[in-house]
Amino acid sequence: MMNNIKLDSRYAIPAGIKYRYEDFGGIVYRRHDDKLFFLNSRTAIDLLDLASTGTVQEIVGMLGQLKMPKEKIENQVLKILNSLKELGIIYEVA
Amino acid sequence: MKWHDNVVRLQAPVCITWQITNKCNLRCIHCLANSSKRKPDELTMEEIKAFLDDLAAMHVFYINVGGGEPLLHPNFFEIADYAEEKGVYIQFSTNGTLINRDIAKMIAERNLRVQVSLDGWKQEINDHIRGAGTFDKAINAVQLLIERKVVVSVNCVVTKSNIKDLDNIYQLVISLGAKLRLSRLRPSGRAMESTERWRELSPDSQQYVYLYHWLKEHPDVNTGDSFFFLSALGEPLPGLSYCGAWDLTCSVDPQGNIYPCPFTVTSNLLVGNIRNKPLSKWWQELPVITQISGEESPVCTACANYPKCHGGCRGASYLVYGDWNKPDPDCLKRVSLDQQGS
Repeated sequence: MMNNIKLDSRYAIPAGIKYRYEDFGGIVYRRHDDKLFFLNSRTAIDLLDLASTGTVQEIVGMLGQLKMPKEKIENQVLKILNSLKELGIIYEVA
Repeated sequence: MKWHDNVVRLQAPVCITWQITNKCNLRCIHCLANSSKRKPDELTMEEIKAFLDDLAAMHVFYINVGGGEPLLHPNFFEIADYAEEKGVYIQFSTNGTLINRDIAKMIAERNLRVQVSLDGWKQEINDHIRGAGTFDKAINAVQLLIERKVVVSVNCVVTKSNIKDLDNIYQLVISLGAKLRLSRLRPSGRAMESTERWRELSPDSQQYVYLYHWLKEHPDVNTGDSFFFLSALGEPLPGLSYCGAWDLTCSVDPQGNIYPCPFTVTSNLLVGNIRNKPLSKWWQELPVITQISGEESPVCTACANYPKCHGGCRGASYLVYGDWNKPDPDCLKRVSLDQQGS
C-alpha cells in the first residue's frame, strides 16, 4: 500500500514530466508512456512548480505568500499531492 | 450544437506534427503527404530555429517529425539537438531504409524516439505498399535501434490487405522488442487520388468491427487515438474521443504552412504560415477556424453513440465530403444498428 505524503514529506518530479498552466488548471505530459493528464486545479500546477523546494509544510507556507489562506489549503494540498503521486506525476523523496 | 463545443481548447498545442521535408526515397501508395522531392522553398535553418524557439516558448511538449523521410533532411540531427536544447521532445517517423549502425548510434546518443513504418508482417504484403526491399530494410532498422536501446515503435497503417494479419504483425513487432502502433488510413495524399482509391485501400465495415475488438484485446498497442470513431461500437477505446485538430494539436508542412492536422493539408484549410507570423500568434488569434466551426450534423447529434465518438475524424469528413461537419465517412453506426437487429 502506498504511503501517503504528509506535511513533513518532500516530493520531486521524475524525469520526463512536463507541465503547463491552462485556463481550467493545467496539463501534464508524461514522456515514458506518452500520457497526457488534464488537471482541473491551478494549485496542482503551483505545487509542481514548487516541487523540490522544501517540505510540504514549507511549500504550503509559500502558497500562503501567494495570497492563499494556509488553513484552508493544507488539507487540499495533501489531497492534491497524494493524487499526483498516485498518478506517477510526483514521487516522495526519502 | 457545434462540434467545436465538445472540445477543450488549450492555450498551446500539446504537440505539433511537422513535416520536416517533402523529400522521400520511397513512393508508398498511401503516403499521406504525397512525398517525393524536396520542395525548393522549404524552411531554412534560421527559420527552423525560430520555429523551435516559438514552440519552446509556448511549452509545446513534443514534436512528431515526419516527412518525407526526416533522415533525408541535411540538418536533421542539428535540428534534433536544437530542440533538445530548448526542452522540446522529438520523436520521428522513418521508413528505416537509411538507418545503419552509425545512424542508429546517433539516434541513440540523442535519446530520440523512433517510429519505423511497416505495413505488413511479411515481405509481399509490406513491399506491395511501400516498395521492393523495404520490408527487410525496416526490420534491419528496428533491430539496429533496439540493439542501441532506442525506444522504437513500429507503425502499421491498417489497410484492407493487412488487417487480417494483425496477430502476425503484433507477434513480429513484439519479437523484435518494439511496440506496435496502428494508424488509420486517412483519405489524404496518395491514398486519396480518388475516393474510390481510398475505399479500395481502406478496411471495410466488417474489418473495422474486427479491428475494434482486436484493439480491445490489445491495450498495449498504441493507436495515436486514430480509431476513436470505432468507439461507437461499444465501450470506448482508450484515449481521446474527439478530434483535437486546432484545439490540442496542429501540423506544419516543410514550407511553414500551418494546417489543423497532418491529414488536412489542403488550401481550403490553410491556417497561415509561420514565415508571416509565429505559430503562437496564429494559435492565439484564430481560436476557431471558420471552415471547421460549423454545426455538427444532426445525424451525429441524434445518434446515441455521439458522446463516444463525437462524429469521428473531422478531417476525413472534409476530405471525402468537402464538409468538416458531416459524419465520419467510416461511421459504423449503421453496422452497429444492423448487428443489434434494428
